[in-house]
Order: sequence, then C-alpha cells, then structure tokens
Amino acid sequence: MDILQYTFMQNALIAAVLVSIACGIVGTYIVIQRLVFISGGISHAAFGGIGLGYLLGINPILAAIPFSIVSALGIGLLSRSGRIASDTAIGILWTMGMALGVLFIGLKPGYAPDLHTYLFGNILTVSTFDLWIMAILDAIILMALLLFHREFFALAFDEEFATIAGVPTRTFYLLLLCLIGLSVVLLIRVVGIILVMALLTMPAAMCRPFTHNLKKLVLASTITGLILTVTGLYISYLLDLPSGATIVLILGLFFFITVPFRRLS
Amino acid sequence: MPPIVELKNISFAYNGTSVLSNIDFTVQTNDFLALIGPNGGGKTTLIKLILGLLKPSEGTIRIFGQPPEKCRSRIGYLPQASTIDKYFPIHVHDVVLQGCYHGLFRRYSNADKKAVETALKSVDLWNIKDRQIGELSGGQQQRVFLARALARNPDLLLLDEPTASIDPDVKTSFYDLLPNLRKRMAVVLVTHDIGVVASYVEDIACLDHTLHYHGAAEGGLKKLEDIYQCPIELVAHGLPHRVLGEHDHSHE
Repeated sequence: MDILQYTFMQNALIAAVLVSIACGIVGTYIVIQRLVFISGGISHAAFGGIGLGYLLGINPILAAIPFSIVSALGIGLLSRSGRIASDTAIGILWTMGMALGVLFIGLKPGYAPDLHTYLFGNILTVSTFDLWIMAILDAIILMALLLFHREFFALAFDEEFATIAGVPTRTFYLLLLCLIGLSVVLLIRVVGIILVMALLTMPAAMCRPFTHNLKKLVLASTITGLILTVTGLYISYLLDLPSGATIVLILGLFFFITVPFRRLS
Repeated sequence: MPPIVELKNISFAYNGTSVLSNIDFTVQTNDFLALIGPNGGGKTTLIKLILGLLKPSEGTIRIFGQPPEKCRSRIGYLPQASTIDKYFPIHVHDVVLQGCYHGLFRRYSNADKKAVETALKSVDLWNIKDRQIGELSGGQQQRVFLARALARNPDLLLLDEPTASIDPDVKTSFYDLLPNLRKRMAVVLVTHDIGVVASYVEDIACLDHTLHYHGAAEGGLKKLEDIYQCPIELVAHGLPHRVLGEHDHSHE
C-alpha cells in the first residue's frame, strides 16, 4: 500500500499500537473494577491541563500529564472522603476540570487556538515527539502493571479482604487512577478528550465475556483494540472522515455485533 | 496464657450514634465462640475493630498483644455477604491464593500454592479449583472464601455470618467443617443461627450495643431465653445435642 510510505500514516499506525497497549491493560481494570465513570471524570478534567499548557505557552500534552495526575488523585480522594457520594464528587470535578481548561484558554491574550485536535483527536497529525511521549507513558503503565499486578488484582476483586491481607489498598487505588490519567493523556492525540472513554472501555468490555483469565483478557483487549483502531483509521482514510470519530464508531459497531454472543448476565 | 484478643472498655460511635459502649471482650487461644445478637447490635463492628478496619472512639484493643493492624497475618477473615462481582475474571484457586499475599515485590511461592491446595482440600473443593468464582453455588463460594481465610494458617478465624446467604440444608455441611478447624485456631463465629450453632460452639457472647452475656453455651441459652435480651431465631427445644440439658418445660 502506497499510503504506508507516508510518515504521517506510519506514525498513525505506531500511535495505534501504543494506544492499544494502554487501553488493553488499563481498560481491563477499568471494566472489571467498574471505574468507567471515574475514568470519564479524569479524562474530561484533563482538559484543564490542555488549557493550562496553552496559557503557559508549553506543549499542552506535557502540561496535561501533571494536571491529569492531580485530577485523578483529587477525584480519587474526594470520591472516597465519605462526605460526598462518589458519583457526585466525580461529576463535579469532571465539569470543573473542563471549565478550568476553557478559562485558561480564555485568559491568554489573542485568538483562541484551534482546540479541535485536543477535543476530538487527529491521529494523522501525531508527531514523532508525540510518539515518544506515548511510548514513555506506555512504559510506565507496563512497568506498574508488571511490578504490582498482585496488588491491583487483589484490590480489584475484593478491596476489604485485600486490606486485611496487607495490600496497601488506598495507595494502589490512587495509583490505578493515576495510571488512568496517564492513559488519558496518551489517548488525547488519537481520539481526543471527549472520546477517550470509548477507547478505554470498549475493547475490554467487548472481550470480557469470552474469558475468565485476566492475562488473556488483557491480551485480547489489546489485540482487539489494535485491530479495530487500525480498521477505523483505514476506513477514515478511505472515506475521508474524521479519524477519531470513525475509530470510536467502528469499536461501537463491533461491540454491538458481539453482544448476541455474550453470556446472559 | 494471655488472651489473643483483648478489648478493654471499647466504645464505637458512627456519625454520632453509639454502636458499641463499654465493651470488655476477650478471646483465648482455643476458644470456639459464637457471637450472637440482633441486627444493628454491633457484631460486625466488633469484628472490624478486631481487624483494625475501624478505630474505637474509646478503649484499647490488643490482638496477640499488639495493635490490630500489626497482626492481620495471623487472622483469617471470612467477611459478611460478599459484595464481590460474580463475573470477575478469577478462578477459585486464585481467590484462595490472594489469602497468601505476603507484601510488595514478593511473589506467591510454591509453599503458597501448597497452602492453597491444603486449604481447598480442607473445604473439599480442590476438584473445582479452575472454575470461575461466579459459576459456583452460594454455599460453594462461601467455602472458597473460608479456604481463603485459612490459606495463611491463621491463629484466629473470624467468620461474619458465613451462612447468611446459604440454603438451610447446606448450612450444616458448612458448620461441619468447623470442629476440625478449631483444633488449630480460635474461632469466633458471628451468626443468627443459634439453633444450629449451639451444636458446635463452646461459648456464646451476646452483643447488643453492650455485652449481655459471655460464657459457656451450656446453660447460656436457657439464660438468654429467660432474659430475652437477645432475640433468638430458633429456640433450641428438643434438639438432640448436649448444649441444653434437661430443663423445666412447665412454662410451655
């Protein structure tokens, strides 16, 4: 295929691979531990970091990393403080994060920049620098999972028992939320903040009924995410459609195709 | 011999409401104790205080002579009706293996896997070790969680209403596992099932915000009937066991 000769397409394919790794690992934990809503909160709050980056004149993706971690910790701590219902806390920080992003952008003198790429993604404009950031974030996520898979797994299955067994559950819960924050940043360039949740949840959700083995689930989610991301990318190229949206719609379509084969709950 | 559990003058309040007040409670090394009482009386709270999951508003707790958080490795815990996702991707074997968790960066060793095998065999579920946890019946799941509590070879076993969600005919097969276990560890069993339990335990503690009774089961049940402080689900008349001796039927 001639298209593969172009750097932008090569970068897009590499981005698809890097993104699928994060989604396979983190997405699996999001789905099995029912953190979908929290992930939505973290991903939208991250927009505050994008705005902050613009205001300070630095790469918005780089600014989004610490902001995303702070949002993740804030959401994690607030939702468990006991004084506020967890979904209320998430909803509040979700919208305040986004509002902060809009505010920061408005504070910078001059024309507001084109936010389209950060809100809806554009995998075709991923640069080599972006790929390096994504690779480093992937490495951090992979390392955390390899080092602490026992802790994350015990916490996800039965948090109270894990605490009794000696797992520092609060620390690892917050760490998992931070890893979600990092995955969100990874995904911003590919599908944009608004659609991050789709890539974090759909591959794992699609594969979940077909295996009872966590390792196989992570692997299946990664591969499924990769195949469908590349498929969506290819279709968007063929039909000249927005890439992020096409990828998400392809994921959704295949999700619904697999529904009749899922075991009844 | 010092008691393995020692609660002195314990009070606990939640959101301003007193749940437990002035509790003095001990458990000795070889005790086999049923903790009974009405719902909301503080039984689960007491268990969580022993585990260090909750902190008392007043009083001291010593478990094996130490603060509760330090001794969790010596305690096996079977929590109340589980809030576990039945579709979670985990097998019976791995559920029990989590009971062997030893700390950060420490893998599960071969000794751990042997402990899992022993624990699962002691509850008669070794043959289904590869099944996903949700495929099991309620009674089987509770036995898996019991095996998980046993995997670490604890000195104290805390069971919080272990048969609450199990059919009556299956409850006995669960309780049948206990006499063997209590040879190696102290057992504290929170339950409403006083009729069935009366056949197995030696001591009863009746908890309803305060400790109304803590002593031998024999004679204790009759006393509780008289006092009617603790609602008893099944009054043990005519059951063929040793707990209630001959007693006066004149009130019938």
